[in-house]
Amino acid sequence: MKKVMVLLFSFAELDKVINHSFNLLNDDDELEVVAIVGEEVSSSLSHLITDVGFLGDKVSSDVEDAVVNEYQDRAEKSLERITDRAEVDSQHLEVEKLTKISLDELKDKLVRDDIDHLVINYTEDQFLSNEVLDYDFNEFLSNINMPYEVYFDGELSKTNN
Amino acid sequence: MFENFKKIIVTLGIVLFIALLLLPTPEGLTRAGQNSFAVFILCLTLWISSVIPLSITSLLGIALIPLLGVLELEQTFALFGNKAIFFILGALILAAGIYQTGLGSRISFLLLKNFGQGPKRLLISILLTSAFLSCIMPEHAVAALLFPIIIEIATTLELEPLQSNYGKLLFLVMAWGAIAGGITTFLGGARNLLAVGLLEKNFSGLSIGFFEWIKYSWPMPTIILIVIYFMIEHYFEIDIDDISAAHRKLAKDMKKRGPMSKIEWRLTIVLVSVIFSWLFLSRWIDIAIIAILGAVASFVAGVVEWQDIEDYINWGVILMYGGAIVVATSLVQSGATEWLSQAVFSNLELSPRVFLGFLAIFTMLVTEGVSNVAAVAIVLPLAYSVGNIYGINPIIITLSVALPGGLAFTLPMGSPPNAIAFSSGFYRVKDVVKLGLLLMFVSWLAYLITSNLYWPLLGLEIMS
Repeated sequence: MKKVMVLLFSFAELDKVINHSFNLLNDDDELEVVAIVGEEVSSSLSHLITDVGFLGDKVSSDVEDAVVNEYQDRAEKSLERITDRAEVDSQHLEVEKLTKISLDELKDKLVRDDIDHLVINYTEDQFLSNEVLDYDFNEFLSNINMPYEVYFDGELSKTNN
Repeated sequence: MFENFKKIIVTLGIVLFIALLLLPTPEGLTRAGQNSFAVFILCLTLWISSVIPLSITSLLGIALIPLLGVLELEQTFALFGNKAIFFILGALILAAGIYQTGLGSRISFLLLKNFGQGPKRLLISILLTSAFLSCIMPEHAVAALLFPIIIEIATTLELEPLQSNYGKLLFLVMAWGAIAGGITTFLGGARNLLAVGLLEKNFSGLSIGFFEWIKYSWPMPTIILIVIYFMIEHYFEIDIDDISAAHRKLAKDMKKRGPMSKIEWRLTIVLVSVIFSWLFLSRWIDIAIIAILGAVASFVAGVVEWQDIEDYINWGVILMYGGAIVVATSLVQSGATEWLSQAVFSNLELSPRVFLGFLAIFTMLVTEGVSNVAAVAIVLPLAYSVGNIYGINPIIITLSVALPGGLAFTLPMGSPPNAIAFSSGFYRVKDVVKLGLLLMFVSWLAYLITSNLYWPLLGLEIMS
């Protein structure tokens, strides 16, 4: 039985990533989807609103709340879509939603859970990727033997297959 | 990459600051003038890099100018007490009321619900609502106010981030409307008043009133909005046919709000009175006094409380604007700009019109990378010095920096409306670079048309 893990940092343009992940699976294989959802937005946004735009903290938090709610909503919907697809395809699926956790914890999880194949969808959203979702897997990926694909917002960027 | 760039800029600023303080003064330049250059360059690099808050940089400038003997202490602090500061103070308190009472959201819902029937009409409604609101409150606040409404529309229509072109356009037109509308009055962007403050401090007897500003500015946002309108009608791909779900949602939200509250009515009366006074009574009562009275009236009417003001306004704005006026004016009063114009720019062989064209595009490029206020504070004192050589009307110089200085359409760091729209996640920076550059070009053409064809009709001649 093969175990495929999908790490979702971005929920934009997911179709290719989801299709590819399901195509990797045979009947008895297992898909584990980990969605990383930030509970805050980058400080760059609040800096631009309060320090450059000179608006108060309440305005900044109104915008931030709207952004965070939207991202969480997108994450929920994306996971629902994946769950529906797994049901249709009768695939074994585990879904986990994480707020920001340490990179080391995530790497430990990848090794500990005996993952056979890894698919990552990063985001090119500079507001999120640089600070909130600061996960750099490059070094980790270069030291592992498992096959992997790295996408950025649904566009394939790197693979070792 | 940006962090390294910031470090280089700041290091360069500090090195130049120290070098200018230590180097002997060239012929014709006083020590005070050279020190004012040193302070200006240090502040310029700190404003560009934003390694410390913009307002703290201004505070540093205020401290260094008397410390280095550029201006007397009393003279420096007197510059800070500019009437522009008090206008900004009053206008921001009124804007806080519009945001906090929900009157701004109500106006937005009303305009969007009634005029945005089809997909294109909704985009045009967002554009015009955003532009209209930016004529009565800061453009940044307009974007913050509209953002949750647009997010709700996008969610209701189930638009997919990065996939839906319509989703991208919803947020872009919100930002573009706010930016274009923000140059129309003093209220849309306080940098407009900063520019007028610098004009008054540096050219005794010259000023631009509230109504006069609108008289000079309106063709530029109008041309830009018309071009965006045509882009929506004929150029943009609209990948959705039915937006009735969004309409139902807007109608439901509007219904939930109920009729206008007493506080909203009171604020409306205060706002109408203030705007009427700015437009028609400013000959007798200064606009700063009207703004302050309006702010007081909004307190007396129970529209806002002090805690609201603290929540909705970053008072660093007062330090930023006061400091920018002090730093920029010290360049002129110490004779530094006069020396610069004679020593460096007197041999330039450009016609005044070509110079003004370059000035406008240069300011637009600067404002894409740094805040609008900083762009005006950096470019305007230098522009005055070059304008002196050509004998260009300082009012034209002021408008040629302040109006283009508000038009940052491309990058999130240039303008908070861009940053707020970008935070939706519906597009990436690379998706809007072409459109941003196109709008920059359109804005430049709008400036050329306005300055060359329209301003002369009002008797505003290029040469003073």
